[in-house]
Amino acid sequence: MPLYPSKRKEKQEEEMELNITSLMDTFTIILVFLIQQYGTSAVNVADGYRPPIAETRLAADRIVALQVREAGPDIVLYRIGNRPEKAERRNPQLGYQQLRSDLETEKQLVDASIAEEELKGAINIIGDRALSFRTLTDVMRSTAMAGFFKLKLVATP
Amino acid sequence: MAAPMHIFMNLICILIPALIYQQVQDYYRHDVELPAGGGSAAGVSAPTQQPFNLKLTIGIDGSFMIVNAKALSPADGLVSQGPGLLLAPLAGGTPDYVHLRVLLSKEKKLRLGGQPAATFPDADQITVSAPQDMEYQRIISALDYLRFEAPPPGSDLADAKEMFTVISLSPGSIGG
Repeated sequence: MPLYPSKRKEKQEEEMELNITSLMDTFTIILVFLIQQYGTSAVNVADGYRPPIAETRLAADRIVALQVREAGPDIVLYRIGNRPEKAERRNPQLGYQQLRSDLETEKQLVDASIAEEELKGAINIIGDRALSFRTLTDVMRSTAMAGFFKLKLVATP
Repeated sequence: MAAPMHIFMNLICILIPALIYQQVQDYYRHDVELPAGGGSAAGVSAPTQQPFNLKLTIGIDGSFMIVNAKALSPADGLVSQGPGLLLAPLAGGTPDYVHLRVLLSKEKKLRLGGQPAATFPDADQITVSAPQDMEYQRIISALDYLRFEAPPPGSDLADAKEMFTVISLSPGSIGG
């Protein structure tokens, strides 16, 4: 005698499918939320920039970043945020004036968007590990003169 | 129809977190300032003592020169030279970072002489200088050993206590 699924069993299967659909929706929402929260690094390093290696465990903040590398003696390439890379030759008396000017412009935009008091005037400096100390301090000086006094040197573990 | 959907969703739920985990790169930071920034007065209400003005110069040969140390002497494995105390590199010119951290930790603790740290304007401050052509990586490596004390045995660096929290970078050479 053939066996047919009872109506009760069919009903149970329908309910199961409905539950899974809700679960899928929930998962999708949670995943989107998680991707937004944790799906990107605090710092985006462009190709060609190699941050130094450090043992410190102070996590980098999500703030505006200045990436710097040397293209030759007294010539730096730099990127502010996601803007296109620029080059500048060091002025023996004034340092990096174009960099300073660009940072001053950026500072106005940053000040309007940052709410946390602690992060106002803060900037991530992502210097290439082969940068010379003089270039680093010159860049730091230009950065400070543009109004970014909280200098955070970014490194990789 | 339902079975392939379950498999697909399972894969998605496993793969997406795995992809997120792989793509997120951790970055760390060292907070620094320029000497002209004014030092570590933040949080200090009324310093009554003279500043320590502790300076560390990183030598191109792997040595370190500590200037204005109050609690260190040649008995700590240092050589008195010029304006300060010289910590020689290890064999092969490798900087002796571990010994440096031990020395600076001792200096920071003992130099207070029983006075509260808040009475000094620069109790947490150190000025680091180096030759102008020194590689940035060397600077960062030295900062690792200034910022934190050695972690307790068996624990991670994340458990280490902070040592010098205000670090000024100054281009220059060995000197007071």
